[in-house]
Amino acid sequence: MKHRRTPTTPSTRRRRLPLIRIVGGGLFLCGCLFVAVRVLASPTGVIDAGLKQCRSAVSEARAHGASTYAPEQLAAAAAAYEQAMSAWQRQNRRSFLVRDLDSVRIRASQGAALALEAVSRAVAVCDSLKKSAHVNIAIASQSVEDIRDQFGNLAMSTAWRRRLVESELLLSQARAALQRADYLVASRKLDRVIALSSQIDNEASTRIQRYLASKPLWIQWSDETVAWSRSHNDVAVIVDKMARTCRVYSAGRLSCEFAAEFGPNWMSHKLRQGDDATPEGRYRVSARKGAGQTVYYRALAIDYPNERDRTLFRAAQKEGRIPSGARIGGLIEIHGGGGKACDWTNGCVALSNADMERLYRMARAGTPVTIVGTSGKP
Amino acid sequence: MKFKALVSVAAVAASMGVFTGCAKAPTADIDAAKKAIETAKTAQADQYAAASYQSADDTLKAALAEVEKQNAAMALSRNYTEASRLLKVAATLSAKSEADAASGKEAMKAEIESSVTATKSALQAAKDLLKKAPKGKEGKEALQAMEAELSTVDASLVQADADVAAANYVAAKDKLTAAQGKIQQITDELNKAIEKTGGKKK
Repeated sequence: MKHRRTPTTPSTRRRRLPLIRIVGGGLFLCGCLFVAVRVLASPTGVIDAGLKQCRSAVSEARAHGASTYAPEQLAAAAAAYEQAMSAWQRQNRRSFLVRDLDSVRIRASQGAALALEAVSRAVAVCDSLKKSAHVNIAIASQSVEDIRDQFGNLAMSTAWRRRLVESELLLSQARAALQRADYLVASRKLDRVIALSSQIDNEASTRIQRYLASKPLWIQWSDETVAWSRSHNDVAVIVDKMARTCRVYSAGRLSCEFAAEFGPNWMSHKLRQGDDATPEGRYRVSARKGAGQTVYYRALAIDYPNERDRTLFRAAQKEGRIPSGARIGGLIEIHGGGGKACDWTNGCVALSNADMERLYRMARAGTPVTIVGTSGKP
Repeated sequence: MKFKALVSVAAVAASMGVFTGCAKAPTADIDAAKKAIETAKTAQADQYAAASYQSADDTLKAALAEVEKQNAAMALSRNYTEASRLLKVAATLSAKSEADAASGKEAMKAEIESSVTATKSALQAAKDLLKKAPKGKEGKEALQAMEAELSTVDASLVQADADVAAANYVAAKDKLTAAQGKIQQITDELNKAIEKTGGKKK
């Protein structure tokens, strides 16, 4: 037998209605409570404070010159801030019931930490560059001054001279940068000055070493010349290019010493006509030119080129070191007109007129004249 | 019955209002402020008006953070007044930094161009003086040396021109000042040499 559903009567419905209301109201209250807890517990204030701290830290890093002295750290801090902001924007588009703001907080915190790191690094790098710039400007200034003083006497090549001027210009620019506290620019320019100076120094040292390779031969020539003067009880002349002197020996003893000037290319041995080099070798006075016979007050011509010079000339031509049509040259003299404090002759040895007068009186045709790169004596 | 239905509908609408909110983010102000800062950056305000540009950028960042702070709040409690104010300030500061940059650049450019003209004139004068220097054997090496030095200074001025073209006025100024010093030094040496031989100083 089937049970028949009891039809709902008005009294039955009246008993069910309060129950529905109670359950519905309870659910509503729970929902409101949940929302209230979610809202009150929201870390918006914390996030905002964290981002503000990160922004301030990045600004402080910039104020300490991090864009110059710690650019990578500053960029990382700025990127962390932007990532935090992007994450916050993404979370704000979601329902507040499901937002996750931990990633925002973490990125903001990382950004602030990176910015502090940028400040530390910027201060340290700036301080270090400032100290090294002050030290290096003194070193660079001294290097450049030394090159001007010392190598100015070494027949400076055009390439050296250009590098030296470039160094001087960079040094001036470095001083200007240092004055406006731009330590990075100052350091870079000073590094370049020191590098150029070092390059000139190395090249000059190499050149001097090559020059001094013949020193033993020159010392031998000098000693033999002095010995000849002693044994013949006669006058002999030794010209020392590096010492810039013209020494007169009489009976093997130093009689007098004069300051001498040479050709601009004095560090080279004369190979050909027009090379402005003063030759090295053992020569003799071939002619004496008195007043009216020379434009240089008085002159003693020497017998350049000798056999050794001719041999060297032929070898240089064969090796292509001088043009095939070049001439060996001649007319090398010791003459007056000097005292100009520079190397100006075409290869001759120049003395002041007063000194030339004295030498002219002492020397005669056949007097040995030995020209050396250095005699080893100062 | 009908009254109850109406009350129910009103309650639902009010609930929807609570959750969807009434205040809107100031997107027009955001766009205007962002555009202003980009324009200032294009005008090199970050180089020529660094302080005012940075102030504008910081204000914009603060404004955008304020917008998000309000976006995070409950709909009924959102208030974008402060954000709008900050955005307008950021736009104003950006415009100021752009104007500062323009006037700063113009002033520096005028100063540098004047310096370029003066330095090139001095260099040409030194070259002309070199031609008039005594040509004797004793001066030959010294003249060749000065010629090489002036040539190096000339090369430095070419670099300065490149800096001016790239609007690197600080670098250009340093090069010009250094060149002027060197030119003066060479000119003084030339004048001494000319005076020594009895010529007239220039």
